[in-house]
Amino acid sequence: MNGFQLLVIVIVIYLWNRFVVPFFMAYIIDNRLKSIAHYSSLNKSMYEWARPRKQLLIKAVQGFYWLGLLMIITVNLLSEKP
Amino acid sequence: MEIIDWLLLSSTLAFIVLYGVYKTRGAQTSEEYIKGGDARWWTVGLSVMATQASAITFLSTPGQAYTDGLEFVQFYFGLPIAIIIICVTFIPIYHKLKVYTAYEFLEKRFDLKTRSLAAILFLIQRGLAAGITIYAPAIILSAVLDWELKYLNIIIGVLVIIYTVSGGTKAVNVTQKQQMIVIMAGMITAFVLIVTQLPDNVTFDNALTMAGSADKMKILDFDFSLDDRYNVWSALFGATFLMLSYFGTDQSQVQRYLSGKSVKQMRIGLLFNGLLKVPMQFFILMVGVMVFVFYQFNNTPLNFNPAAEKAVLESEYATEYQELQKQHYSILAEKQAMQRDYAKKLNGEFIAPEDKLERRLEFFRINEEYNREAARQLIKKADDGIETNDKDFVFIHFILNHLPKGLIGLLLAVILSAAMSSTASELNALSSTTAVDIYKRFKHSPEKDDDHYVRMSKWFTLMWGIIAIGFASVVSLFDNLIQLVNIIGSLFYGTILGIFLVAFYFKKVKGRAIFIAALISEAIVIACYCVDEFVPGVSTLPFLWLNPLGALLTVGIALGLQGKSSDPEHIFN
Repeated sequence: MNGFQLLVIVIVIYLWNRFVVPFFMAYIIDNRLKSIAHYSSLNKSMYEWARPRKQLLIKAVQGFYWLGLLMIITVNLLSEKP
Repeated sequence: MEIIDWLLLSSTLAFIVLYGVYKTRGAQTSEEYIKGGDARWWTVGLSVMATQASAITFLSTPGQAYTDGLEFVQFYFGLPIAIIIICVTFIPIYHKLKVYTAYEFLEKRFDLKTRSLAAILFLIQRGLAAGITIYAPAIILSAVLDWELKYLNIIIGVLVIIYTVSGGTKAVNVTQKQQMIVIMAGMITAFVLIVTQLPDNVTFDNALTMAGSADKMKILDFDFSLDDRYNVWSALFGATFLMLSYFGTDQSQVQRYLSGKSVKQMRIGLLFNGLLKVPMQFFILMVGVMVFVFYQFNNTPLNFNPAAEKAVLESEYATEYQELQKQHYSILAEKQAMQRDYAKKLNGEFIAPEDKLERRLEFFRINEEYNREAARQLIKKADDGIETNDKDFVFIHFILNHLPKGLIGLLLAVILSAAMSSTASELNALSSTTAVDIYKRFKHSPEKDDDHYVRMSKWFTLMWGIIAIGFASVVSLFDNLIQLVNIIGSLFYGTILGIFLVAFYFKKVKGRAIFIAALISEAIVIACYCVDEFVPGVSTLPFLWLNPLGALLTVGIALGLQGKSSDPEHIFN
């Protein structure tokens, strides 16, 4: 993997993490779309647990993608045995 | 379909086939034909992705989102975990042993019978799946376009056979890059067009809120229920085992990354896939959700399968069905008016009492669904053999009725390209396994040179292509096509994965113990599925759980049966 390819991947992951992840995570966690009264008690309590921790959870998902990138870079840097 | 659609469709497909043949022309050694040469990471990554993304993905997944929302994306949560395990454990060993197929490794680790058992289990399940991969888009396209099903099966099969026989693994890899470009370009175009065709006052944000009010935006389901196929727990446990088995032991995937130039290229290609798969699947489901929002403002047929509607309208139940249609369109008219008010409310242009609109919309949706179910019952009465579940027809109905000229051809090219990419991988893997694990292993003689094995591999590809077309011509439609493929996989994957897990992690287990364990656990898995499916009132395990069951049973029984054994450490050193 050369520097240009790496740069493209970094930019894509940055844009994904910057715009898409927070936007959709907010929808999923807030679940403002429908009253959670319909949900089972376990689902309801999970959503209620998640709401005050929304920012932390968004960071966790963003972290997952940065971690993926880090793994790709690490594999790329590992020297190949002949 | 207009001339421009035909032109776009036929030129795209012809280009892919000719490109595959052209890029792999000339003599090839058996290593080049079966392993595919030195692919770089992006070729490996795209090829792995294109193999998994079949036509079913693009026809069935938006339909799944249309009816059940985004919850299907949970199925892919186990994929990154599985990919990491494969990168760390499986790839270095496959590469070190220089195997052509995953099952070759099993003979080096255990014995010939275990290798043959795993290869035969693979040939059975992948042989069936190859037929479904051809049949799935063919049945849908034949129903909506009124094309002859048997000719469509043959056209898809023959196009794939041409370049797969001619160029082997390399042809599959190079065409899959083009196919992924066509697929992604088509899906992005479709998504943009759906959003732009929504009413003026429905922004993307409003569209999501509307989808959410119909419970289509619920991704995570934490309820532990064995009756529910998709929840967080089945995704993290069941799907991880399924993905581990699919990517680690299924030759159609293993062959894709074995074509990598080095361990590094293979690993980066797979990690790239692990990182992109969830967003890609999420995007395809979002297309389905946007189609749902689009149809909140536009009329839908009572049943999306035109063949089903035709059958009932030509039967004695025609009057009853027409009555249901009348009710259906009256419900839709009221629901659409209310959705317009809801859009105004979301823009602050209309004041409605708290939740009143949402509750009334819910009421209309329940009525609509009730009507649709009544229609399905009537169709069943009119023709018991016809498919009443119309999930798989939703997206193609949208494509044909609401996309502009030219784009219909592009989207049909997407569906057929996807069908070709996954079928090509399957035929290629079936042929390699037959050539390497069965033919070369049992019929090897010094007089047979490399050219002979290349020739035989080509014959095996042709043979499996004909079998797949034949199976596609007799298979009948199931609950949901994407589930059928996963169900067939889940019946065999657990046991195969169990064999590989023992091979990698339990070095003292010998061939005899694992062979008996695999036979017993496969029998138990099939029995569980049959009881669940065919014994009324008895429920055992949903199909995703068959993967961990098969794997854990194989590992457990093998460990139980194993006494002291000779140490096969030499291959790991």
